Amino acid sequence: MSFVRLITRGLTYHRRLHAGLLLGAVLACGILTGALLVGDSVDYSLRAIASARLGHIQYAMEWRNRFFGHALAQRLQEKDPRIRASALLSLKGMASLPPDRKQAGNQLNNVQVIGVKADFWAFAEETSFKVDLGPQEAAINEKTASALGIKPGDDLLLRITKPGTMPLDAPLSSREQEQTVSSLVTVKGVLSDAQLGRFSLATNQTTPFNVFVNFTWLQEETEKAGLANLMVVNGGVPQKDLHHVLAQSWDLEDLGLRLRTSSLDFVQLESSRIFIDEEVLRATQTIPGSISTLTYLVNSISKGDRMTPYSFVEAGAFDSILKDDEVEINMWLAAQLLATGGDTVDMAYLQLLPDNTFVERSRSFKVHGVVLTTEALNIERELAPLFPGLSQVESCTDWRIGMPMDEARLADPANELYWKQYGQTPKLFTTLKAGQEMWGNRFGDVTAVRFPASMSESEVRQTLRKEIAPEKEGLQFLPVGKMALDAVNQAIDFGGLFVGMSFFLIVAALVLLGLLYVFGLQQRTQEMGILLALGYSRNRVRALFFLEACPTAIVGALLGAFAGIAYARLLLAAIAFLWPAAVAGTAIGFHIKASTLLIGIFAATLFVLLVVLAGIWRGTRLSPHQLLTTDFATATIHPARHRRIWIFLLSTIALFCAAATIVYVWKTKPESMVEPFFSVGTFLLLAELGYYASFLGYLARRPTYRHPSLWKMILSNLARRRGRSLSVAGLTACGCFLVFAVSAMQENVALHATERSAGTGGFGIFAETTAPLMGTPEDLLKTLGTKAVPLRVRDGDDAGCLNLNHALAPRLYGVDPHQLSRLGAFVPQPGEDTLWKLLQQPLQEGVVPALAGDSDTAMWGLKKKTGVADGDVLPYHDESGKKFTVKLVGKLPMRLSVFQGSLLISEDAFTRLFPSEAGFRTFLIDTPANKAQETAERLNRDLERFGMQAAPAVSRLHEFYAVEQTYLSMFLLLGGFGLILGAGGTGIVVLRNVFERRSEIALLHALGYERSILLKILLAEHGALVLAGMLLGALAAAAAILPLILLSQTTVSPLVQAVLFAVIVISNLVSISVMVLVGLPQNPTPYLREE
Amino acid sequence: MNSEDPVIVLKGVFKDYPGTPEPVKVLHDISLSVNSGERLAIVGPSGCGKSTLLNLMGTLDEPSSGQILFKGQDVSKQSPAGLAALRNREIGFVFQLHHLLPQCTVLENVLVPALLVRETDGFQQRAAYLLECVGLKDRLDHRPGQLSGGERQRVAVARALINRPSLLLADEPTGSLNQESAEELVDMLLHLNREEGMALVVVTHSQSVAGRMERMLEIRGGTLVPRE
Repeated sequence: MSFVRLITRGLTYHRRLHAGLLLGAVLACGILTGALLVGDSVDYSLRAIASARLGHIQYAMEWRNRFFGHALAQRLQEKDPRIRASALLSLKGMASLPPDRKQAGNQLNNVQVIGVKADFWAFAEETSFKVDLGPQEAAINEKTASALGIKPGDDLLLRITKPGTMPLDAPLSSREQEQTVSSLVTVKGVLSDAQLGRFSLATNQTTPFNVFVNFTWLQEETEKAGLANLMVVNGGVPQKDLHHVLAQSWDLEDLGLRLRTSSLDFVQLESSRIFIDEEVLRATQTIPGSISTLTYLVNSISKGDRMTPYSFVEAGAFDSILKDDEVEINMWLAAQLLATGGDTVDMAYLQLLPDNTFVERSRSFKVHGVVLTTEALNIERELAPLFPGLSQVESCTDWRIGMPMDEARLADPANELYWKQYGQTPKLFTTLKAGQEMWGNRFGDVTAVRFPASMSESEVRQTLRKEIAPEKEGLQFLPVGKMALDAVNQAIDFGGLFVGMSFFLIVAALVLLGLLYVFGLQQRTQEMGILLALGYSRNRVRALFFLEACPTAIVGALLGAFAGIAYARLLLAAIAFLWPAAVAGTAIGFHIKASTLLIGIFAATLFVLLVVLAGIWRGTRLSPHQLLTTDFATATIHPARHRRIWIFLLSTIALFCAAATIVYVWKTKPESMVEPFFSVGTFLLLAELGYYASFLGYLARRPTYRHPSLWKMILSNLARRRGRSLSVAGLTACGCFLVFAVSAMQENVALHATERSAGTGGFGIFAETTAPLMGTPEDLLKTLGTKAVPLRVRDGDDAGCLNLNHALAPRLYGVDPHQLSRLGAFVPQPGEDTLWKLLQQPLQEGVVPALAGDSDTAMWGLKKKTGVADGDVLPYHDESGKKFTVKLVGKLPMRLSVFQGSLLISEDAFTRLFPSEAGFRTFLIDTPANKAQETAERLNRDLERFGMQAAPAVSRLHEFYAVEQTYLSMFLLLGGFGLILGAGGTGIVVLRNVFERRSEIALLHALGYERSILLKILLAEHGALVLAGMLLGALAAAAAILPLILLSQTTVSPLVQAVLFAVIVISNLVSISVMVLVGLPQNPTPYLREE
Repeated sequence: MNSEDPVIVLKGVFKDYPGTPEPVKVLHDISLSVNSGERLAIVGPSGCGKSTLLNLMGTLDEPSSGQILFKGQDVSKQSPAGLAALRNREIGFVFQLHHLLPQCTVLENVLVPALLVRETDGFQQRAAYLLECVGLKDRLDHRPGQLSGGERQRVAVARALINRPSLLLADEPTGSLNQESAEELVDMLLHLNREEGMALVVVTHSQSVAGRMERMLEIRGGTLVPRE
């Protein structure tokens, strides 16, 4: 005989007890492991997606809205053989079936049209894959093929955005060109994920619509010959080395710069973007004798009643002789205005505002002198920067630039003659300072830099290449491979989410296990008593029982791991078919990690053994004498007085804490209601259960009933096994609390959607376009045919609920705070303007104030604090590659808004930081709710060429809310399973109670109680337990949900609550009835003998 | 130890149980000394406190006041572990209900107290000897469920003696047995008392059982008085 033998004897003899323990362990481990495995599967799938979308690409240089020479990729490879680089031309576009097959509304917007060379396919996971794309041939991904229903050999109509090399919003920028180009291509192949079909740099699991075309063909189609805007590079080269090679390989043309040598050996630097960037300008200033100039087109130059319209003027060339209020004019202008030195001339010019409108300003200057030498004028004529759409036209009336012009004035004969004779030769010269004051804008304030004639072009090139840091111009490689993995690493923890959702189910399993085990132990109290009487110390007895339970717990957990695999598969199937919105429609593949299984097994074993230990501890508290002599089936053990006082006191403290939390929430209106909700709920449940325990204690100690009745007998019975009564009521209360509260959290997003304070801002339509709509608000009104608030967009990560990855740099909207403030949009109270004023908050240099798109974006998407004082900051790069930070000074106050997942900054800041983001791509359209659908359809139809995607704003809210609603449904369903398990637990308690009281039942039977009365007594007793639990849970839920209802748009549906209540009552009543019928003997008389 | 030396001494022991409105006084000023090898019967009506007294002597319960000395040592000064060790080594219990571990065989039940003793050599033989003494030599591998009430009680006696206790406490050992079994059990207890030399204290209702002891005391009104 040994302790081991003693333990194994107990294990085999009490196998029924251990079977219960095993079942509990299997359930607990299965649910826990299953939930964690769902997390693993999501994580694995996101990693697989990240890997598929990038293939073997590790670095990418993306120059949005700008272009570098595609030969740069070749130069990099030549400099370092470790580098495999491919230049791409990635443009936005729209795809549809050819006109003969096209059906209304089946155009795909926001398509990535990517011009690729053959070397691009080497980055695919399927390394041997290659597709040779000729002109007008395309390879599309599966998503595009499926959306359009096309296959290889079919034709596809592409409409591709055609960004200019110059920012389209810039003054003097050509409006001549069409913004899109259409072409019919033939589909050559449909690409799988392993063939880079999913290629995208966005940290998002959503598959884009990808159309790959021939690189050169796309360059030609979009007039970007020799240019690219994206370069991808393989891994295996440290980022530092890559940048070092880049620094050696780039040239001025890669930044859109060109050097021009005049006939007089002047070298001039110009930019294909008209205005020269700050970093380049800084570099030019390191060359002594360099002169910056600014050429502009002014509306008029006049002296008295003599005037000449639309004239080129130049600032900077004559700085050595001019003061800031003086100008030099050419002979032609002097003759036109009859002006000479000392006269005053007035100049009217247009100034560009952030909303793309121009305002006319004027300024007077004193004429310093007249440029008399032809040579000087010839130089200026020769060095006048070339403006596409302006420089090479025959007549002034052919000018197509981004500034409003008066047709009548354009036709001025004298001016026309001047144009024909002298072209762009400036008529007037100011100092650079004066010119920049007048014509400087967000795109820059220098159009050319001249270098001393002593420097050759190659010397200038060499110096500038040395001085300019390409990364400061935005020409830099980002470690996109690493960033993708980082985004997945910081993605939503679905394992945690499902553990949270399955929490009640796990608790229910453990309580069930506890009940089963404790009942079993109660049958073994004498065993404990014997061992104690035989001299075993309490700890040794505990150790024996504990060690006896260990193998069962471990085996249960091991089996539970298998059950967990099945549970995870079930959940994934449910996600795929019932709850796709929870993972934004992403296909989640099943994946097992051994470490997760071990964690699940370990955690479940630990939980089970803790429950076992608690049961054993409780069982061995009594003296050996009590253990040997007490009949636990009939005994009522009263807790000591001091314990009763403690329970009452702690319950009162918990009640006070709940009340204090409600008051706190009411006063402070915190950002997140989740913590207060669970705090109030937990405190109230604790308080209620404490009072309930005290009430049961009172019933147990009550004085004799003078007038006994059946009901009083039932009440007395409730108090007999307070532990069991409390377990049943507690389990039911917790379950009901969760189910009622979660079901009450459903929100009706459409309820106040027409109000300005809603997440729609009161706008009827939220519209987006693939190609930007250009122009002033008036132009847009004309284009859209309806009143709209236009927004500028800088694409970025989606920090909303539809992106499972962690957003690194969310999408930015440039908004006009004055306009939205005037409308009172998105503000809680009409007339309140503090919200939008936050966007104009002056902050330190390089920090831009931003509002989070809604409170869910701040809290869940970004997990960041908002506030003027303590708001978090996010790092960004501006268009020229300069770092800046966005500070979250506030957020739109509603939980869900049409801006979910994005940040809002002021239009001023936006245009300053991203001047090349031309035009507007998002529109909030004011239209009555009943006309929203119709107007949206009209917009989609009329503006199809821009890739217009308009929909009622409320449907966008519904789309976001679908995710939350899905989580709530999942929570409810899993909570419902928990309640079923809880009902099973109640059933076990009922059965146990009935079995223990068979002799008592037999006695009552002998005393003349009919079976029906006995049934009623037992049903009423246990029904009262469940009902008490439900009422306690419902009360706690009501109190916890109260602040949510009062402070948010939460609406409680009495019908849903009533149905839930009915379902719980019915399921519990069924469970109780079945168990009472099973337990109640047909003929109780034989059990009298036991008495 | 000299046979005249007391194994256990109770001095002015009181035992109350909490009750409403007042505590229930069970034992009142009990003083008692039991010598080594002595056979003592304690009798009295139901509910008079006989079992309570036995539980106090067996350290299964604590007195409300008074002192209990076991071999001269005050048991109230012992730690719970010390008391457990005392029960294991020095005291044997036989209950009215046998309280055997149903999962263990007869032999294993007898050996359960011996598991706590470091030097386990010879316990197998002693258990076999004791079971032979109680007439269960052929039932070593039976489970309690396969034995009659008298046999189970005899296993309990053997278990009580496995660690050679100085004091054997028997609480109504014949209470659940028929006449014949009861007599056999008493014979056996007396035989073992002589053989093993331990003091024997029997709480009983049965006059015939009590009559076979050397000394008989009665609890009357909570106090212990000699029985004529």
